[in-house]
Amino acid sequence: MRAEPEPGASPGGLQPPPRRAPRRLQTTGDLRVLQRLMAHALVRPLAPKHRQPPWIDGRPMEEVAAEFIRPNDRLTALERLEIYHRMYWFRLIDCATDDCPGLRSVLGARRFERLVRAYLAKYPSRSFTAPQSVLAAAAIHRRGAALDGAAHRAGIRRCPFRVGADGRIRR
Amino acid sequence: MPANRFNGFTQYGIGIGLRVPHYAHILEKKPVVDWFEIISENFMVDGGRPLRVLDRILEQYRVVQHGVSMYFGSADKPDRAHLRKLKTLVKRTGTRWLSDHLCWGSVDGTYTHDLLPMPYTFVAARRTAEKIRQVRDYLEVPICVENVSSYAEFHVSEMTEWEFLTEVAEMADCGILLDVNNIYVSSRNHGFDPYDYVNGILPHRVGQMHVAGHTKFEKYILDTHDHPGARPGVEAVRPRGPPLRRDRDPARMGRQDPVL
Repeated sequence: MRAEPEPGASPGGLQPPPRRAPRRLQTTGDLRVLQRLMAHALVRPLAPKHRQPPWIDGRPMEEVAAEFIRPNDRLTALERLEIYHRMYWFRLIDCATDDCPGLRSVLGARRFERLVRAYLAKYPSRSFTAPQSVLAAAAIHRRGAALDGAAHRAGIRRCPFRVGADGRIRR
Repeated sequence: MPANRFNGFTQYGIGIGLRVPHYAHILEKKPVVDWFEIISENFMVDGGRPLRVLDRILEQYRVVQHGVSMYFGSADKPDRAHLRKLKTLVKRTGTRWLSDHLCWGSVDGTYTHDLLPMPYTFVAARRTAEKIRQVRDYLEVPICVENVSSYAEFHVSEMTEWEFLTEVAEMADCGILLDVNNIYVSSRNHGFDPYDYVNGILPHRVGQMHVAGHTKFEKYILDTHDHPGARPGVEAVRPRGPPLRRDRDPARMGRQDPVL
């Protein structure tokens, strides 16, 4: 289940990324395209180091990052992008851990993190407050939601996932 | 510079970032503190403990609001629901000025919850300044924009970060919240001289300063707010004197007491 999007947000959510990064910013539209490209790179699931899955169009992630991020003498473009990528995920997982101790205790740390990752990979945050996003993720599990009072606070109506008896997450 | 139109002509002195682990200590011990800086988003709620604590603190202390999710640099329009909640809080706190970051963090209504670096271009500066003006006109309080620490730069950038900050502040006619630690962190990550940055800033636009600490990694420095402020950064701005907030995050340091 997810929280309702904030009024004023694009109803369709994050629009598809551009095929190529803009070479110059000549309009606000170019700025939006650049920001959309980077946002897509940040919300994609975390992968183990050196095992970055290819970009949406099949290109290596190194090539995509180098198109819009400038490397320096210590870090490649992808390594610089990865700092933000990791911070995005760690911040939201930390937030979920702080705000949903009940759900975490029901599921256990490993399954809890898997659940939060699965939810946020499918539904990137649509709220300016991170807790609202992770509460929506927490509320997909009824017992945990009851423990945390998350369903009520996040205005939950529908559950997009369920956790099976084996701990696996299913639609 | 201590009192100017960007900080509501106040001379507040040295403040502290208000964080949850501080609450009990402040309410019980009532320490002598010039003012507290609150994270606006933590109190943009309809009720509950945060607002009860805030009201008790407001009875005895001056409070200034600092935001983390206005995202002046996002191409999207300002979020009206966000602005309405923020204005309600502004009326509650009576903040004499308000600050948020010179960054972007959302697009198409999807939020990254991070302070992402701007492409330093004239188009981005114009858009950012336009949004700052819109937000200030709606909230009816002076606004200061804060420089963020960054770990990446864009190919499309046309100027330095301090030129971009100046361009935005001039076009928006707004103030600057100068975070000296962020200057130091970015200077190490991008290889520029932090004094070039400080000397490139228009002093009359600085309405507030932040001092905090960072963590060094092998190939970069991260702004973690869990160490004392960097000496080069602090030394660079010592002669200047707008309101200052010192910030060592006790939650990250495992401390329970406010730090001055």
